Amino acid sequence: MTQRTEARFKVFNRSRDTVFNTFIYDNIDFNVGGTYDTTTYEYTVDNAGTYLIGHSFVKKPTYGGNNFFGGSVVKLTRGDDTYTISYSRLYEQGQHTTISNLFMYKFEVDDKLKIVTAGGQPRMNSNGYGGNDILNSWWGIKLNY
Amino acid sequence: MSFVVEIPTVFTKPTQIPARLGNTILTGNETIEGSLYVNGSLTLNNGSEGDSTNVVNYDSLDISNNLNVNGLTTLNEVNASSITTNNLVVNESLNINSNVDISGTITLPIIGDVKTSIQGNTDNILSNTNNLSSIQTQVDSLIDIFSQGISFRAYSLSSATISSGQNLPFDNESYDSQGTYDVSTNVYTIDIAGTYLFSFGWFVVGGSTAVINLIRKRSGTEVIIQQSTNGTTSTGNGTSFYVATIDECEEDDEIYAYLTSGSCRLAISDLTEPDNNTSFSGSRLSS
Repeated sequence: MTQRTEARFKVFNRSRDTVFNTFIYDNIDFNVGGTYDTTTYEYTVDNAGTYLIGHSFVKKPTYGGNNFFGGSVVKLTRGDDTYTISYSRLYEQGQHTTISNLFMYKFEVDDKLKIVTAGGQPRMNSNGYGGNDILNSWWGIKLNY
Repeated sequence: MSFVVEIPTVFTKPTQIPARLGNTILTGNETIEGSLYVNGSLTLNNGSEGDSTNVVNYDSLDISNNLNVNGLTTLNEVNASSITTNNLVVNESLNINSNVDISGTITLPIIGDVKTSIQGNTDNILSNTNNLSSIQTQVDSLIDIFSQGISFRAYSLSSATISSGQNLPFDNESYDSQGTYDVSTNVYTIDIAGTYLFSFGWFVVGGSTAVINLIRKRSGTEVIIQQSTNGTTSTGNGTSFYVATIDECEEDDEIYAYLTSGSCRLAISDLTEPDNNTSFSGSRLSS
């Protein structure tokens, strides 16, 4: 019997900030078995395995006749290479609409993950809020042993 | 001046040797065929006269009958057919080829720091790799493994428009391992604490916007753990939305999807079993 190695994290941002490059998840709800940097907003894999990854955000309202589509890209840095491993986008007219993404990926130790925009101007949330609620977040959990 | 007293090799009658003054050194072999009783102390030195250390080095020591030692005895290597002792301390390996009868308590080192095997190497249940630091850790791991079968899934057969201010009525169950999803209140109650994956889906009602919060209620306090909305402008009728999140739950937490504002529906059209469209589901992934 092999002891299970736990790895899970959930980070979030309660602001309505528009994202121009990196999704700024500046708060940690929980983080076990991995490293999350609240200054670079980057998650480093400490335990290799297959993870379930999810995140959600909202589409910025149309403004001045411009439709700012909402899109995100999950970037994986492995060694000297950085590449896209997931892409989500809402392109139609819409305002404050939830955009979510969900996928699995087999990560190696020292893999680094970051979420950036896929163009457009996605927002962390429709409006800023306080309290303990988490309306949108970025999370992951290791599934296998 | 010195002299030598020669003693016969065999005494034909019981013989009492008078007390001696000074040391007697036996340089050859001595064989005692009867009993040897020592009323005082018997010190076996390492052969050096005047050596005060109680260290004895033998090529071999054969005791064919009983050896009763009432005080502390240190034995570096023992091959014996039986040993009876009040206190036996073994600093290195102890190989016992037959039964061990112990009427007292056995005290072992911390499990995980010592290799323990039962019934031979093939049944080695613990290793010294420190992967498992204690029996409790193993039990927790087993609970984790078997608790990962905890899951539920609920759905609706109705395409009726749902108005705000209520839980989404997923009022049929596909499965519910713990029997803790209530189809009348549409609330799932956590039976075993852990990290759970939750997801739910819904459809847009044309001309309406909806805000749905996945809520965790703990000790009477509600917290949103995920929100799903089609925004503030209407999206196409029948557009589907699905969200998922994970959450660290405690026993008796209540999880439900609450329609805060607007309206939505859970099926494109009325369905009959076994068809279903959207669902509310959860599964325990880890501790």
